[in-house]
Amino acid sequence: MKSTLTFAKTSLNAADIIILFLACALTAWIYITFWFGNHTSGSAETLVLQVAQQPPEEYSLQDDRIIDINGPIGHSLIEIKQGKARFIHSACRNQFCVFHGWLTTPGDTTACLPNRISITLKGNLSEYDALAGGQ
Amino acid sequence: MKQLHFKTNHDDHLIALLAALAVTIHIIESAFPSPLPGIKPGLANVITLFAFIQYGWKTALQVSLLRVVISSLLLGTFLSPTFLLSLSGALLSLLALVLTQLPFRRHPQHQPGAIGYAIIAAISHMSGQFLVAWYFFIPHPGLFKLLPIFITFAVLLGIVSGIITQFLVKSITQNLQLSDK
Amino acid sequence: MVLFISACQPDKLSQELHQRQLFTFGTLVDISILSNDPQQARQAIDELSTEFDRLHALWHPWNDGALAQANRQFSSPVPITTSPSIISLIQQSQYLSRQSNGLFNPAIGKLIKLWQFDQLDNEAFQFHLPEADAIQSLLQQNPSMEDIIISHSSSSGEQIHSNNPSVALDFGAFAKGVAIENMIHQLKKRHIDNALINAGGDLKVLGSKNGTPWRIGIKNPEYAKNPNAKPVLAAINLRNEESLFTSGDYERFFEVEGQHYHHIIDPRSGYPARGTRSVTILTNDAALADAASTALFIAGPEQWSDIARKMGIDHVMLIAADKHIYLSPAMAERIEFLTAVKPVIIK
Repeated sequence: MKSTLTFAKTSLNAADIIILFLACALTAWIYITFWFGNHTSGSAETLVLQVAQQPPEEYSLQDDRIIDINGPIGHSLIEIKQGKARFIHSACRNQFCVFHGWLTTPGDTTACLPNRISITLKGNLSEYDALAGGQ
Repeated sequence: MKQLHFKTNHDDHLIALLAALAVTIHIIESAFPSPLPGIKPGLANVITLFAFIQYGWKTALQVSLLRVVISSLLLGTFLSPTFLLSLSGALLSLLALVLTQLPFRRHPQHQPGAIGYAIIAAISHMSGQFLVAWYFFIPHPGLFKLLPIFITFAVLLGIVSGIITQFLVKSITQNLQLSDK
Repeated sequence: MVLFISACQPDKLSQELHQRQLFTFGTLVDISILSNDPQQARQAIDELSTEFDRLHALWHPWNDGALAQANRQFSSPVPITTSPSIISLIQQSQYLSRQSNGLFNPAIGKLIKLWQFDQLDNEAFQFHLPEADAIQSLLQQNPSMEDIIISHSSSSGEQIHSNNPSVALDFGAFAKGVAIENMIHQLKKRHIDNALINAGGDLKVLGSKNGTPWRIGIKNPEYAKNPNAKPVLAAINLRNEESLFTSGDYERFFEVEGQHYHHIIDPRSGYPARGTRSVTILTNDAALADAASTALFIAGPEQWSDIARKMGIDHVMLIAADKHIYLSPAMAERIEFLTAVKPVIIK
């Protein structure tokens, strides 16, 4: 074996060093993909808004704004701010949609059923495929 | 290339000796708690590595299989999930070693040293175990969150076992005369 | 090698996810279908949408559909013909009513109407408590599924009539489950093997999401009242053809003078069942799941285990009004709690 590197009584040749380098690169890549990758692609990018049976509309979560929808029972106001979204006002009685508060992760969803409006955050990875329990 | 059927007693004894060493180390190792299931110092792998570097893959394969089977019989884990994990790691790492060596057939002087091989063996050993664990035991995507940790340990332990193997190879070739590759 | 593993993870069987939300059946229905043919997915969802609307109208207790007509006829004992799906609903309900010791009782439609829960969708409606006398009088007449007789006549086929004029059928606690069973069956006929139908929190799944099980978060009942609480209480991975149904006191309700009246009426008292916050059931048949979640909600922390056994339900989580969580042993194996809770496991 041709030794190119010798220290502390161990010797490494060219092939060893290449393997070592590749191993480190692989390890780094694995960290990025499975740890940090999950977080960044898990951040939401768009808000999907659906009113009654109409095709859903998408809004970017990067642009802060307030969306005013006029549904069957009145107005609902949806706010997009700092990558999150929420109902700030709705004409319904129970106000479930408003009480739900901010939607922050992909998959988060809430709806004003009486006004036929639903909002969902869309991103790459969301933790749950569905939420069970009351509406 | 060596013949598969060893005619000389000397080689049979060699394999038995190496296997016995590997089993012993494996059993001592299993007495120590490991930080996470699947993370072992992997010192028994040193023996397999040594066999591969000194005597070729066929010897290493026999030593490795003997080690996995005998250890599991002695520890009472034969055919258990642990056994499957052990076996898959051993087989995959040997396969990786062979594949790594292939391109260097014409120029064996440039092939990786003990440390290079050790890293390859450790990473593929860990991958083999991870694959089996994911496919048969925990098909949960959350398992992948552990992969970075496992791989880090694999690389580090690979380096350590490589250094140890290198010592072994050097001292043995200095002290004994053995049949060549 | 490791690259091979990571490539394995997302791309195993790799069908595309098609998802649509429908406002139907009185709630938000979320349908997810895995298919490599967008045309097939769209057609399947369209078909489901139409079918949901049709069944909702057909099985509505008080509109102009088949069930409503039957309900109006029950005041006289004259047999009438009705839709086969309604006969089927009656038969299934009679069986489930017996299995639940009468706690699941769709024949109390008049009682439910007295409570005006059919007006929950009407935003302007002013709720008030029913008169205690009216409730008592209905209770005494004891409407039950046994009062409905299915008879066979050679000229008119299968007919139904009621021996008890106080009977009216309201399948609110059951229809969603039956509908979902039908929908899943339709999807299978279209060779769709991986799907999720979620009707307002009650759901059933087929297959998996490209190899990964469908992962469901169970809402925390506390969150409805307290936005600072954790929104999701527990998670569960579902297997092929499993249904997960929940009945809760926070879903459909009205408030009068600060008191909370929810829509699950205890047939024995005539009032909303007390003692339970929510019940979650895991089983294969969605219709059974729907009926059982109601029956066990009414059974409450004391009796749920017996009724569950009788109905053939192994996986139950019951959250009592005092916030204690009860689990059947099988459910304890499957469910993953996200908060530090100490559930009680009851055999």
